[in-house]
Amino acid sequence: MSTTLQELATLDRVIHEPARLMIMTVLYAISEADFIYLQNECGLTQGNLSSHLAKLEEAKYVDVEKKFKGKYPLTICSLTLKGRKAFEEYARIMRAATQGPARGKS
Amino acid sequence: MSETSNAILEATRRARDYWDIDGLPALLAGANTVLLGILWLPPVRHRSWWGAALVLGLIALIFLSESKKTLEWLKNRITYPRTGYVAPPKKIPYSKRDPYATISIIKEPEAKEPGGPLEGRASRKALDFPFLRLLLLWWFFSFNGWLASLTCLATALWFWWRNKKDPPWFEIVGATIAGLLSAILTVSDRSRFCIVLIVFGASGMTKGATLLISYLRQHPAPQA
Repeated sequence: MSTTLQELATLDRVIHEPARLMIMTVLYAISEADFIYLQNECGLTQGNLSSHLAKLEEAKYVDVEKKFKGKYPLTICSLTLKGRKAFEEYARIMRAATQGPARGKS
Repeated sequence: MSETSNAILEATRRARDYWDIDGLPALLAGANTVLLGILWLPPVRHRSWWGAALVLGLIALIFLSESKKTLEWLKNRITYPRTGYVAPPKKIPYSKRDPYATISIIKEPEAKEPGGPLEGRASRKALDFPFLRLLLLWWFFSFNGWLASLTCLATALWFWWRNKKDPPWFEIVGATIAGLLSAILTVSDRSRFCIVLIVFGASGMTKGATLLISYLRQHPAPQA
């Protein structure tokens, strides 16, 4: 087994879950978003998004802050520095494992 | 990361487009341009007491329409409860900006670093540059009607050429109408410039209103 292949075993399982990967990707691209925006972008239900955000918050990858703008409550989510680094590391491992000469069509 | 994947690029693009999705920036920028045009109309600038009052009122309205607080206030009540809030990307490439942003003195709010405070999203750094553009336009339009008309038509062509896949039709039609009016109407240079501003602003307002109506139809009620 090559080192690159073995590295796949070290993939961050918190990020590896598809829904959480979507959330991390959206938050990586922007500086912050609220709950409704994330829900619409990722196509997740309220409960699903809540539970995934809770897991990401538990891993200290995402910072969730509740604020009020007038009467409208905003649940602002943003990536922490730890989350940003973890996402970059995850992307690096995945890229190293999947890039290479294209196969197939002979 | 040295390379950016397509998913990240797409999320960035969608966040950037989200800023204009409700039509409010175009509506306010259009209103701002129309007000500037009215302010520069010669009859408005006559030195009588009502003229001075009108000028002061227009200036107040211009500042109100260009204020990012007004835009934020509207977005807080219309957009964020319906489709959520997202901080716009830090840098909006010039080529990707709404054409009205190149004329208006409204500046898109700057995104802030993750984890920062919610307040202070807006910045007023870009005030000088649009004013310089306005002055340049004024200087350009003070030659003659035909040159002004050609400039408008060239602008319309440039809008189309800049984004051939999805041409900004409101801007193209606005610039074309402004160009035709510049050629047809026999007015003073200042009035011609005002007419161009008013027509272009009106097309911006139409675009904004159309986008806003379509947005409200798609999202009639705020999400829980």
